[in-house]
Order: sequence, then structure tokens, then C-alpha cells
Amino acid sequence: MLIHRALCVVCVGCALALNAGATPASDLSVQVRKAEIRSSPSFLGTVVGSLDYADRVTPVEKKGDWTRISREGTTLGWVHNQSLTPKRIVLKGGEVAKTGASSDELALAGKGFTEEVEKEYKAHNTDIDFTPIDRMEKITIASEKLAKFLKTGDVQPATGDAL
Amino acid sequence: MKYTLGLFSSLALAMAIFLTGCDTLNQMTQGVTSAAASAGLINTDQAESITKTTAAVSKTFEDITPSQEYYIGRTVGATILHKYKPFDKEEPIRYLNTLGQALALASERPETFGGYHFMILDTSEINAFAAPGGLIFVSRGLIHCCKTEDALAAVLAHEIGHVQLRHGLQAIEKGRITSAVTTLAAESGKNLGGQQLAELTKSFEGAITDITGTLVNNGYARKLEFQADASAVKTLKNIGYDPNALVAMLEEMDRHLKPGGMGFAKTHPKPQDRIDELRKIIRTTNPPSTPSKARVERFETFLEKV
Repeated sequence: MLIHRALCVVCVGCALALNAGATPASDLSVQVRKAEIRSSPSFLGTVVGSLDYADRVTPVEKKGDWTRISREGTTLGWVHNQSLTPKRIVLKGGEVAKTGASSDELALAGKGFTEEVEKEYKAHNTDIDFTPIDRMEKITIASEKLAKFLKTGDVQPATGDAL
Repeated sequence: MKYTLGLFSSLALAMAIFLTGCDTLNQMTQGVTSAAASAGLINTDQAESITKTTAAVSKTFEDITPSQEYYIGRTVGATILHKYKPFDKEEPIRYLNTLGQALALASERPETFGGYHFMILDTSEINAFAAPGGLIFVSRGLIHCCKTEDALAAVLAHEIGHVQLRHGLQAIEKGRITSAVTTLAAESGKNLGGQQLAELTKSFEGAITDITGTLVNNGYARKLEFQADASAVKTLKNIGYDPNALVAMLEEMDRHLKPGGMGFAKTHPKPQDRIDELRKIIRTTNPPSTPSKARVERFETFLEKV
């Protein structure tokens, strides 16, 4: 039984070592246009800052759906895992060669389905109007207003804290 | 000796897991599932479904980035607004967005590339659509089926569930993703040529047709609707709305929808089937809780304006 346990520890150790070896720097990129940084690993945490698309961050700690991140040695707070990717996001085509990364490791911002493709689509489909979509995208409610809305309506999140 | 062999086989397994790529993972999945099927652990249908799911994951979810999803969603949204007129009253739209964006924050995918935005469709037809990336449309007809803010929250949380689980992207035929992504890999470092742009646009148009066809005409597979309901229950519980409101909402819809009818009736499983599934995850069978006076009043003000 003891030997079995020891073997398990060895196996887990090897697995962790191999895993760590596969991603040496393990920095992450922000894959949304704006990612909010929160004071705690919850949507209830206060917003203490934000990150932009393609920003690189270093993971410090993981807790459930959240990662505590740092930049240039300063720990900033918690970002939702879904807003981060291990892929490096390259904003301009010409920067690809400099990264030395393979195409699998890159998410090239300027390729694939992009604004350029949308423009080409619009040229072919002049009857499709994007104006209401542009208007719709401008409606963003500030987090303080969302918190006030929940409080006024007596909607109490699971922990009972404010947003 | 036995233990030594055990150590080597465990190490080999650990290494295999950590060194395997996606393609090998697919092959492994096929091998494991067919073995499980022959051993009688799962039936062949289940084995086929597991294999298919793995293939779909590696070809769609992994390859469409949130920014690509955003552009797909914008065009899907514009196509929906070509069919349905948007409702242009600022105050109710603001209320809907406040409720929806608060719910999205409490979901398992609080941020998408372009964020979550909500729009009312000016039609009495009972319907709702979620375009990839977080553009969500709810008809006046469906809003008037909601008796409470909690019920409307349940509708929005269900649509957020479709976005969160990337169901829209699953409607895209596999072949299109491959060709779009191939262009991406082959052309890195250069500007798109006319022919490549034309090819990408063709893939893009195909993806839009696949998604809007599913949203408007065919509907998602029942399994995906149940998944969106389960996700809605989680979000509602997280934020503090009553998940029983989803059941109440479906009961109300059951009274309004005509079997064999258009819109929602055509693209969704029968409300009673969804209620039966929901009962498995919502343990309580209590009627929806009574909301506060302020919540009731603001919802009534909203309803009067829609």
C-alpha cells in the first residue's frame, strides 16, 4: 500500500514536470477587447482596473474560474479564465516572424474572420444594414449601475455581497 | 516486479497524456470509446457521439478565436435585424441591457470579445436569438409572456447560456472552419490577396448561413437547449434570481405556443420536455418566490413601454 502511494507521488511528479516543461514562460494573452481586473476571484469583486486585447500577463495563482495575474512583477488582481488564452496574439502580420512561434501557438488578430472580411461581406450584401448592430454595441452599463440595479431590486447574489 | 511494471506503465500513461496532440487525442478517443463499446460499458450510439464531440471540439471551438466569433456574431445579428425590425425605445432597451449585462457577469463566461448587448425585436412572434459573441435579441411577444423580472431574467440567462457554450459556432459546418483557418496559417506575415479574401468571405458567408439557418429555421438539437437551461439555472442562482421562474416561464409559454407553429415553437423542444429536464436539476418544486415591491414596479413600468 505504501509502495503504491509512493509510486503515485512519483507519477504525479513526473507528469507535473513534463507539463511545466511544455509551457516554460506560461504567460497568457487577453483575448477579449477589454478584460476587467477584480479585487477577488468572483464577479462580486470590485473592479480595480482593466486590460486590453492582446496584453500579456503572468499567471500568479488560479482559483476556480479565475486567475490572479501580474504584469512586470506587479500583481494586479483577478481576471476570468475565459478572457485569457495561452496563445500569443499578434496584432500585425509583420510581427509573426519576430515571435518565432508556430501558427498553432498564435492567434493572429489581422487574419481569419476580421473587419476586412466583414467589409467584403457588406460589399456583397448591401441589403444587410449594420447600423443597428453598431448602435446596439454601444450600450454598455457601468458596473456601479449594475450593482445599484441589483440592490434596488433586492436581488441578492449567493454570498449576499454587493457587486 | 509487479510494482516495477506498474510504475513503468503509469509513467508511460502520464507521458502519453502530456505529450499527445489534438489529432492523436481524437484517435485515442476513438480507440477508447470503441473499446468501451465492445466491453459493453457504453452502447455504440454513445461511443459515436463521444467521438463526434471530440472531433467537433478540436475543429471548431479551438480554432475560432473570440475576435473571429465577434465578427461572425455581428453579421448574424445584422441578418436577424434584416428579418425582424428592432424596437427603438431607449428606456426599455436600457432596462433590458442592465438586467442582461448583470446576468452575463454572473455567468461562466462574463466577458466576450465585444461584450453582451441586448435588443428587443418589434414583433408579436414569441422568439429569442443569441448570436455568437453575445448579441442577444428578444421579441416583444416573448417579453409579454414574462410575468416577472425573474422570468425575463430566466429567458436572458438561457440565451447567455447559448453564447457561453458557443452553440452558434457549433452550427457551422466543419469544412468551412478548416478552409478559413488554413488561410490563416498559410498566410501569416502577409497581407491578404484578393483571392484569399474572396475565399475567406465565402467561408464567412457560409458560416453565417449555417448559423442563421439554425437559429431561425431549424433550431438547436434538444440536448443543446437543455444545456442552455442548465446554464441559466446556474447563472440565476449565482446572481440571486429564482431559477423556478424559468419553469414558470416555460409553463406560460406552453399556454401560448401552438404545436406545429412558427418561431419558437418550431425551433425549440416542447416546454413540458424542458420542464421535465429542469426538474432533475432544480431540486425544489416551490412556486417562484415573491419578488420585492421595487422589482415588481420597475418590471411593470418596463412592460408598459414594450
